[in-house]
Amino acid sequence: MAKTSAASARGALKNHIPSDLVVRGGKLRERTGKWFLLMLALTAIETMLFGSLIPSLDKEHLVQVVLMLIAYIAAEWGYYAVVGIILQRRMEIELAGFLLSSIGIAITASAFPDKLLTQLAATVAGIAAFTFLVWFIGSVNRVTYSRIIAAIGAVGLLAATLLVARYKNGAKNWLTYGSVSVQPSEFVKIAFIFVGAATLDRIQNAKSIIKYVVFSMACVGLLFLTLDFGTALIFFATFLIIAFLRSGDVKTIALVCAAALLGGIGIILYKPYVATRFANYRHVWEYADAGGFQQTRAIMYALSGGLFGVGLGNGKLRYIKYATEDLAFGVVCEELGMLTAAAILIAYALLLIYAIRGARYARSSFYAIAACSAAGLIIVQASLSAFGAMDILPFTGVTLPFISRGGSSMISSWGLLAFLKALDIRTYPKVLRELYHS
Amino acid sequence: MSVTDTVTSAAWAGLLFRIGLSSVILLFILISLLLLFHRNYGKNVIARFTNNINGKTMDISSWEVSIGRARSCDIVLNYPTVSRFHAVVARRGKGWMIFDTGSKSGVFVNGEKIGKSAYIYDGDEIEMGTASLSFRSPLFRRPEAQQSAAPEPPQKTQSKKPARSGQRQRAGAPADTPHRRSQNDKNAGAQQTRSARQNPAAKTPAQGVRAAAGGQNPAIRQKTARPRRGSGYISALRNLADRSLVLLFANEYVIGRTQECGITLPVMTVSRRHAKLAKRDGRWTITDLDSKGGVWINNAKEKGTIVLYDGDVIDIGGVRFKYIEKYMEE
Repeated sequence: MAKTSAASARGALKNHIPSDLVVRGGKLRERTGKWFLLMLALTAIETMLFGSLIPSLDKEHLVQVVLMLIAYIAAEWGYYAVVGIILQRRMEIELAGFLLSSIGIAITASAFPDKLLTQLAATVAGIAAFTFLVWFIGSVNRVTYSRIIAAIGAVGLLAATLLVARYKNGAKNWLTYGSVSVQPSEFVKIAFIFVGAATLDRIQNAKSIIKYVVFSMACVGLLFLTLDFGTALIFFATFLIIAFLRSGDVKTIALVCAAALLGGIGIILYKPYVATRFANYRHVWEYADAGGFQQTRAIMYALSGGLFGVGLGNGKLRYIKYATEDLAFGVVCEELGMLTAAAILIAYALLLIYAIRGARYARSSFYAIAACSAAGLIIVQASLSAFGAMDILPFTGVTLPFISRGGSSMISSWGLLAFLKALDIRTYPKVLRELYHS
Repeated sequence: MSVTDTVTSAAWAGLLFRIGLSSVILLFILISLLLLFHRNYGKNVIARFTNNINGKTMDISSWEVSIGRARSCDIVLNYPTVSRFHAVVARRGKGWMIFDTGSKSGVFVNGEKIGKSAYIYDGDEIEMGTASLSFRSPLFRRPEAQQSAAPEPPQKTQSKKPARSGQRQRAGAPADTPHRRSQNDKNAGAQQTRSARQNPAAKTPAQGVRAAAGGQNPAIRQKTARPRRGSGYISALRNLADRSLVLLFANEYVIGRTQECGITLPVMTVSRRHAKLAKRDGRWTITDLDSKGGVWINNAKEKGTIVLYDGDVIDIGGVRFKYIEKYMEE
C-alpha cells in the first residue's frame, strides 16, 4: 500500500524536464554546442583587442606581453575544456566575465606592461575563487556551518587592517607584505554577502536580523574609521539591499537610513575634514587643478574618445596618477570608445536584471538573496566608479569591477559572480537529478 | 599616391577597426548575458503539505518554508493556537528538517514534540497548535532502521499522550479561544455528511493507516488514550455561536460548566454536569444528567438517552451545537 501511494505522489510531484536538457548516458546534460561558438567569438575579440595594443608597446616588453596574453587565452580554453566539454555546464556568466576581464587586461598591458603579470595572476586567481565558491555554496550545509566563521573573519580582517595598515592616499585600506599588497575590504565584500544571505532556517527570525544588523554596522563602521568612504558606502548600500530582502520590511529600512543619515551629519559636524572630501562634488571645474583634477581630466579625455575611441595606447588620460584604477571608466571611454563603455555598463545592468528575475525561481532564499545583493553591490560600485569619475556622483576612488587594474578588486569581482552563477539550478547537476528524478 | 593619401587610408582603416571592435564587444556582452535569461524551467515542486483539517494542499518549490499565523509566512495557518512565526521547514543535505522558531505551543512530528529541530520524512504528520499538516516528499523516505524501531506511529502516540485528549476538547469550548475554520473546510464537512447519509454503513479500515496525500481526504491520527472501534469516522459538534468545532475522539464526554468535564461550557445557564455524550453501537447518544435547563434537540426538550442524527441542533443551556455525524474519516 505504501508503495502505490508513494508512486502516485511521485507522479503528482513530477516536474517537466526543460527542453534544453537532454538525458545522455542516464544523466541530464546541457546542449553545449553554442558555448564552443561563443568561445571562438571570444578568442577573435580578444585577438583584436590584444592585437591593437601591440603597436603601442616598446620593444623590451613586446615578447613578454604577447606570450602572457596568449597564455591568458589558453587558460580560458582550458577552463572551457573542463567546464564546457567535460562537465557540460552552461558558461554564459563566465564568458561575459572573460571578456570584461580581458578589457581590463588590455588596458593594463598597454599602460603598465610590467604589471601585467600581477593582473593576469589575479584574473586566474579570481576564476579559481569563482570555481571554488560555486562549489562551496552548492551545499546548504556547508553554508550553514561556515556563516559564523565568515562573519568573524570579515570583522577580524577589517579590524586588523585598521590596526596594521598605514595611510596611503588618505585611507588605511592596504595591507602590505613585502612586494605584495592587498586590499582586505575587497575580500570582505564576498563574506559580507555570504553572511547576509545565509539566513536559511533562520528566515524571518527577528533575532537573526538584529545580529546581522550588528555585523553590518561593525563592517561599515570599521571601513569608515579607515576613511575608505567609497567602500563604506558600497557596503551600506549592499546592507540595505540584504536587509530588505531578508525582512521585506520598508519601515525597518527607513529607520536604518534615518539613523545612518543622523550618523553622517554627526560625523561631518565633529570631523569636518570628512566633508572636504566631497566639497568639490558638482564643482569640479572650480577646482580643476586642485580637488577636481582627476574628474575634470577624465571628463575631457573621455569626450575626446568619441563613440569608437582613439585606440588602445593612444590615450592621454592614462598618464594621470591612478587613472587605470580610479578613472578606469574614463580610460575605457577615451581609448575604446563610448560604445564599449556602454557595453560594460549594460553588462552590469543585465547581471542585476538577471538576479532579480532569477530570484523568483531560486531553490533557496540563500541563492536569491546572494545573487540580488551581489549584483546590487556590483551596480553600486560600478556607478560610484563610472559616474564618480564623470562627476555625476561624488568621486570616491573605488574600482570599476573587472576593468580597473588591481588584484584584490579582480578577485572579488569574480567571487561576486559566483553568487550569480549559483542562482541557476542548472549549475548543479545534483539538484537537477533530484528535481527530475532521473 | 601621395603621403597624405596613405595616412588617411590608414586612419580610415583604424577607425573601421575600432568601430568593428567596439560593436563586437557590445554584441558579445549582449549575446552571452542574454543567454542567461534563456530559462525554460518554471517553479519546481519538491514537496507538498496537506492541511489535514480542510484537505488543502500546498506545493513547495523552495528550500525554506516559513509556517505561521503571520501573513508574511509562506504557509499561513490562521488558527489562534499557531504562533505568528511558528516553524521553518528547510531542505538540508540529508533531507528535510523542521525548526521550531520559538513557538508557544511547540511543533509535534508524528505526535512527538521536537526540540529545536528534527528531520521530517515523506508521510510524516506535523502538528502546530490545533493545525495538522501531512508532509510529502517522495525522495526522502524515513530510513528503514527508524521505521522498524517505531512500528505504527498512531499507536505509539496513543500510549504516549493520554493527557492531551481532554485538553484538546476543552479548547473547542466557547470561552476558550476557538479554532476558526475557513469556508473551505465547512464545505468539506458538508460533503462528508452527505456521503454518510447515502451510505451509513460505510466503514473504512482506518486503524493505523497514515494520511494519504495528493488531494484525497486525509485521515487524522487518533489522539485519545482509549482505542475506539467500529465507526470509521469521527463525529463533531459545531458551536453555532462562533463556528468553533469539537471533534469527538473519545467514546464518552460529559458536558458541563466545571473544568472536570470533557467539554467545558463556562456559562451560568449550563449546569455543573449537564449532559453526557456517549457512543453506543457506533452511534452518538446524549443523556440529560438532571440539568436545570435540560437538553433541547431540534427545539424540543428531550429526557433520557437520545440517539443523535446528522444535522441535529443540540441546545445546552443556550449554547447551541450542530451535530455532524461523519465529520472526517479515520
